[in-house]
Amino acid sequence: MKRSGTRSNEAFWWSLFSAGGVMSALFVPVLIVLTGFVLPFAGDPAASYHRVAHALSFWVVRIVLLGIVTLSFFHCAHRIRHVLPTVGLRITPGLLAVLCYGGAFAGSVATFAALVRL
Amino acid sequence: MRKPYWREISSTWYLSSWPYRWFMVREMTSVFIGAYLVLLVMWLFRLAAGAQSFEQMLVAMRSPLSVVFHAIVLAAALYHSITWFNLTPKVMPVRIGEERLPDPLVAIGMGYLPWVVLSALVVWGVLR
Repeated sequence: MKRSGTRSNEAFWWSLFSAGGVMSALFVPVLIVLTGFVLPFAGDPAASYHRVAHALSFWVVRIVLLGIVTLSFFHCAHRIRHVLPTVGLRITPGLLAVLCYGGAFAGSVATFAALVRL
Repeated sequence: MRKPYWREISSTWYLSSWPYRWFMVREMTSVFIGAYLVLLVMWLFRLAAGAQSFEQMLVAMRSPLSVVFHAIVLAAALYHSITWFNLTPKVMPVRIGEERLPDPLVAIGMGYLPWVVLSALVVWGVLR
């Protein structure tokens, strides 16, 4: 039970959830279509490589992509954190939050690492 | 610390009616989107590793397994997008003076229209 006066950081996580929900709703379907269907089957893989490398040669594109992926990761983490206890997972809420948001943080760091290497 | 209190809850409560089932489908889309994001990060690492590595991954992603995975993930992502845009006017009603804009108008203006425009922009940016 939270004592009155204890600050909740739920609003912070909810704001990331909300921003991530918008980002993944707007961008994830088109990314799936491109990376999963169009690019693998678009004829010459070398041409696909040059197209993608060129698009990601612009720093603004990398920064936007990092924002999309990071916020989407936190969106997923938030939903998973809140849905698992409702399907019977008995795990200390604090630990579950650390696992979910920690996973999202790790995914975001990995995305950053990949994008700076391009 | 006291032992935490767990309210007794059936682990299949959401199977009891369609609104609950669709709620659980919506929440579960995040698992599929998360799985896709992990693959996308790996894809970016292959891109960073150079042309040969990336092209090998592109060819590997022609496998039926990859196509089925992406079809499932796409269905989940589309369900997330549609439910998200439809909920936007309920979460953030847009008022002009005293008048509240009709929900479908807000869903289109703040959801479906930017969705189409941005998707087209991404396709153009990559494939031009």
